[in-house]
Amino acid sequence: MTQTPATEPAVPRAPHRTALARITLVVTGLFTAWHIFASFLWISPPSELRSVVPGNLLEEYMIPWYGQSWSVFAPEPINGDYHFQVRAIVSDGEKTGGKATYKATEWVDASSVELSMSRYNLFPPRAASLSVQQASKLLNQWKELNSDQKKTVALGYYEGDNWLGRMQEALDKQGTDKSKVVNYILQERYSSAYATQVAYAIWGQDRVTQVQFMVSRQNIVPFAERHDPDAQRPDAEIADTGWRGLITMPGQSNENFRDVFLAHYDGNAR
Amino acid sequence: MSDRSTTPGSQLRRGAGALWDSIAAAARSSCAAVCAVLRLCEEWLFGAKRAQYGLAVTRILLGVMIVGVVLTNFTTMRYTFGSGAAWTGQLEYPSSDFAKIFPFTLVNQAAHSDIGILAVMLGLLACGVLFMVGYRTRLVMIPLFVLWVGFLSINTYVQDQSDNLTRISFLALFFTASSDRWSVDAFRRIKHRDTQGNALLRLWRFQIVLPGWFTTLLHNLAVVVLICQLCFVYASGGLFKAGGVPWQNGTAVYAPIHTERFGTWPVLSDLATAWGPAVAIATIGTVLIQVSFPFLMLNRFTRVFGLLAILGFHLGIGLLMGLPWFSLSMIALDAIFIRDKTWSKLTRRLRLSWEERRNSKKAHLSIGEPAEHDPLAAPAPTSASN
Repeated sequence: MTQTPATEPAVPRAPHRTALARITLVVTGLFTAWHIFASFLWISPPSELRSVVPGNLLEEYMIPWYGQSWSVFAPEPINGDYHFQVRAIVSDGEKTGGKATYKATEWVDASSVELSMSRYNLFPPRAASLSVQQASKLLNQWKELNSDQKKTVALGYYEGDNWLGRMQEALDKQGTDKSKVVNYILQERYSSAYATQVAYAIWGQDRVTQVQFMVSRQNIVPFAERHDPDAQRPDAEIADTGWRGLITMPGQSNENFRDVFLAHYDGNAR
Repeated sequence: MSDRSTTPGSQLRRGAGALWDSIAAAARSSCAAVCAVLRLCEEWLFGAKRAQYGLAVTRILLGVMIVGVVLTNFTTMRYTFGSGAAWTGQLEYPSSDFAKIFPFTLVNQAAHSDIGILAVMLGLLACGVLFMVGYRTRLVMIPLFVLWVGFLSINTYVQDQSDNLTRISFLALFFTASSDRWSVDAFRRIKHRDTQGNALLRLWRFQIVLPGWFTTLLHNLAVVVLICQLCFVYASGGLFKAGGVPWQNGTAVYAPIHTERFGTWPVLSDLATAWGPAVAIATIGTVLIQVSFPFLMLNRFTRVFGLLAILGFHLGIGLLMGLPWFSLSMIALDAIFIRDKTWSKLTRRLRLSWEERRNSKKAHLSIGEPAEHDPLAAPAPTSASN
């Protein structure tokens, strides 16, 4: 649909393409047709039609370059808030008679601190949802645990360097599906590492000795009750997890975490 | 009427002959129809590069989107993508497939150091700007693609589906002539129109090197791929939603914009969802428009309606859900559905009104004292008419 200058003589298009052009057309056309068909199968809701592609060919063609999923906000859109709260055991720093005293801090809602970056901001940074993401990852794996295992993770695990390994052993003994335990332990590790960063940022690296995180999800006020001033949000679902030892992942920069986190922490977040 | 005397046998023979004739005729005409369709396809693919202005808009807006993503995340880059985010495990055990594929691994490695992630961001910024203005677009697209895909694979905690879509679109855009219009490259091509040189020099000057039929074919096939990709995305998005109760009962858009993560403007969220029927229209309208998107694109009238509706849908997402760059990439890609004719009409009208304004200004000035060095009096560019 280029604009052709009016002066160009109206020569009838040569209907005869060269053999090379025709062969190229057939080859590239067939490949394009395959690509479109594969994309159609991959993007649309899964159906028996996928079985016309032999073996694992469809996945091998689509992944990783054409990996995608469009069930966004479907079948039901997100209707709750994930929160990641942190508290810590800190020493008072002043050793009275060679003996330090320890106390538990108040809870700090780290998700609210991060989410404040996006509130009333036309161009929110992606940083705003990091802990929300971690909270949902941990909560989803926690839900996979059985009731005995949930009791175990509610206990404190912080002594020594191998507390995470001890927790894993204890969980393995209580369940049959080891992969669920591995998935949960992974999220315990990253959650503790995040909680450690938050605690270091707020209370100082030299004072923090243990951390505890509280991960929750609370649904919003239902649509039908949105005009009711007394409407209450449904109770939050909370993953009950005990005190944990400190974890710093390799390559972690406490300063790079602290600088941004504290810039948005007003000192009295919930 | 003279057939009345013929025998049943000859009648049968004649009947069979007629049947055969009509089968042959049908076969001939359907063969001709197939040939006509094939010829039409061939003509469409070889005739001219399609959607040139639409793709220019796509290129410009995707460039703006990349620049926007970089600027939006600039002050928090080390917290989100660099060593401040090592707690996610994404630096040590990256979960994206691309973090394990060369050369994207380089970008992932760079994120470990403060200088490295800064270099990635600045590189993206530079490539994004160059891509936007169409400066040596084919060359720039290579580092841009590596940096963009690599950057998105650093931390999957903060990825969304538009990141997948932009990657997939870039793969198709590599085969298009996205800088043939409205770009520095296009100016360069005009400037060097009458100069000669070897293939490399001609490439550098953005002159035509490969045979026209070949680049046109690849360009048009890529346009087809992009069109199908977008149609599939919208239609499947609608189909997936259609199965959910909140989408069926017309309340679904209420929920996400009242969460803290996606409701970045709580006051606007309250306002937008105060009146139930409006929520229902937005909810059901979303599903209907998404599912019917491919069919709306077939006809000019429905296309205008469909594109305006989907533009409104994206503006709503961009503003109310705090996802401006997601929305902009979708809008950028939707631009290819607007025909070149429409784009040229639009620019012609803009230019006319601009010239009118300038002329009236000049007339106004000349009443006072003559403006000898009016910078606005430069001849209007005529890039659109080549």
